[in-house]
Amino acid sequence: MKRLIRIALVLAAIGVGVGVYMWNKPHRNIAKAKPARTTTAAALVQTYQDDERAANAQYLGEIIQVSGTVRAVETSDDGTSQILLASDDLMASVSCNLQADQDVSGINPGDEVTVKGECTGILMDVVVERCVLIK
Amino acid sequence: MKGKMQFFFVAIAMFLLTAVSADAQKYFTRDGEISFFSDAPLEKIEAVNKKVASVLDGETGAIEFAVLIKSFHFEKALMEEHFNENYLESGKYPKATFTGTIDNISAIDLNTDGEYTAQVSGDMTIHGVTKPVSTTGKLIVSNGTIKATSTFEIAVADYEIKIPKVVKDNIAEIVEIRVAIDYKRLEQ
Repeated sequence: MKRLIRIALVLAAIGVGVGVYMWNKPHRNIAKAKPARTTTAAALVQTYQDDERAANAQYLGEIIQVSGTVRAVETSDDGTSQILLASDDLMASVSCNLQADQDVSGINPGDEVTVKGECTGILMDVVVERCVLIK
Repeated sequence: MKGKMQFFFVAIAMFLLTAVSADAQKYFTRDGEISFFSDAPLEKIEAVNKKVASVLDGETGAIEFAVLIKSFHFEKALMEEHFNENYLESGKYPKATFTGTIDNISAIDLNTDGEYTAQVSGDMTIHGVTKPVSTTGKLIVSNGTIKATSTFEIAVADYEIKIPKVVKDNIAEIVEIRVAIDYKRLEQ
């Protein structure tokens, strides 16, 4: 009987431990994650414009690494920055929302950059979130 | 098959490029903000999306919004995961949209600085389900830019989002949606 109680207590402790761990589970560490796919901004936009559903099957929710030419750099009121990477279409870019700790001070339109982040789909632009700068 | 919204934006873009009337000013943003709040007995949940695309036609009052579900960010990774995988099924329904009009646009002069109340009505599509929505919003016009804000409520059940009984005290049945958009003039 005592043994049963002990086992029950241990199980309960494990349960609580797992619960606390799950509750506090951190967001995916994108800086350390290996990208599921590597592509260019032009190819990514083209793939989405050709067939959004097929593109989502490949990219949606995945951590991807994207290279391209900077079209614009903007910093919002909350201090986070976004970089627009040019595609062949003037109306569509890859919009990369950077993580708060990323420094864009040295980045200017025309520069070639590579970012890594989570692809969340396409509106006017293909959106890549929580990005870190690779170079 | 191209996505519907994709088609919509291309169509809007083509329309804008070929618009003949110089007076028909359009406004747009690609980084508007929409957040929602769920205030349940056991838990308050908040998520923010800063990648909202929206187009407003200053003449007809036509107004459109589109958001990517996976661009809603939560403080807790677990909540974000449940939101995407169990409730909104963002793999299957990656976008939510609103297509409608500012019904009292004739009473609003977007060329004159000031504060206006907009009566908005239209169709909202979330989780693949479309429902009529009407609400009011505030437009603050200054120097050719428009700050638009609105707060309204939606019932989770209206969009066939199923909340399991075990978490019914953690997730509210009615969530509050807050919209904050800084429109820029679309240069033609």
